[in-house]
Amino acid sequence: MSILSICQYIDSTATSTAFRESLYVFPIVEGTHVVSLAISVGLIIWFDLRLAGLILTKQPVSAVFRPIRPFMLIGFGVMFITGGILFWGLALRCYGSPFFWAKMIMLILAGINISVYHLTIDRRRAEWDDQPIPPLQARIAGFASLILWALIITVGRMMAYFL
Amino acid sequence: MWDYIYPFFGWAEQSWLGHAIRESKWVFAITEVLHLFGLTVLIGTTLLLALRLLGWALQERPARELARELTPWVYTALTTVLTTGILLFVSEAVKCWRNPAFRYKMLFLFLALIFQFTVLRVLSRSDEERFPALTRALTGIVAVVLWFGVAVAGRAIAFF
Repeated sequence: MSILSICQYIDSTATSTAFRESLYVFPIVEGTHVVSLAISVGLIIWFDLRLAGLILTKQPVSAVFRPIRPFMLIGFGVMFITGGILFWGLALRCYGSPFFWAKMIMLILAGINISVYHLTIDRRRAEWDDQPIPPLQARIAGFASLILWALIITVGRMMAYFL
Repeated sequence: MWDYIYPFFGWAEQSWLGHAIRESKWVFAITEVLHLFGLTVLIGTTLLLALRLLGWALQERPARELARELTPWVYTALTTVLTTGILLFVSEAVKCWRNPAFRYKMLFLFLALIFQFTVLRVLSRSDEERFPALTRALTGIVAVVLWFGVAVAGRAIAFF
């Protein structure tokens, strides 16, 4: 079963059609997607900038990360769910959009980046938690996350614009 | 009142800048992306400051210091959203004039800017003891709600 046939199937479902043709549901889901994006990415930038050693350097890394994590996760959760609904309603159009594929690739890269960070350098965080400038690998992870999220926003907006 | 200022919207749309942005699909799209970047950072700084005022984050640090450290980010983000916002506006000023979401956005923007530079500024830069915890918490919440209002109404412009 190819990805195209899966997208064709999703697109042909009654829920997908209903969503596409709805007057209010689509704008509400889209609006929620953008607001949850602002919450999650708006908060993750402080953690990334702290990892990069650019801001809040007087606080330990964990003191910046711990309190914002729950809000960030809620934002991400809502963003993923609304993003999934948007895809369900526009599966075929997403399939044909190069921006959609670019966005998926960058989301995967962001996932790999955060996994590598948590599985390696973050395991030894106790050693560098207080340092104003974290070790190079952590700085790279911070910068990579900032760049990837900026790109995800860019291609996401382009996707909506050219869809 | 809205009718009286219509000529301004017509003039903006007919300006060379309006033409220039409108005629290039890419310039418009890129301006919109930068607008979204600015908004994300702006909402990010507001959220972080609000979490501090609510007493939920960065408690070891006086709010005054945090507010000062975030100030350049706020100004950079504000400059970005306002500049790109004006560019987007002149490219479709007449459409904005007819758009109910645009009117709400301008209302929220007006309130958010006033709140940002009066209440939020004074409160976040004063000593913790000067204002009760509830006042500080409410200030953070109002700031977040106002900027979210701008974002939601802004997104809604495209739906009318």
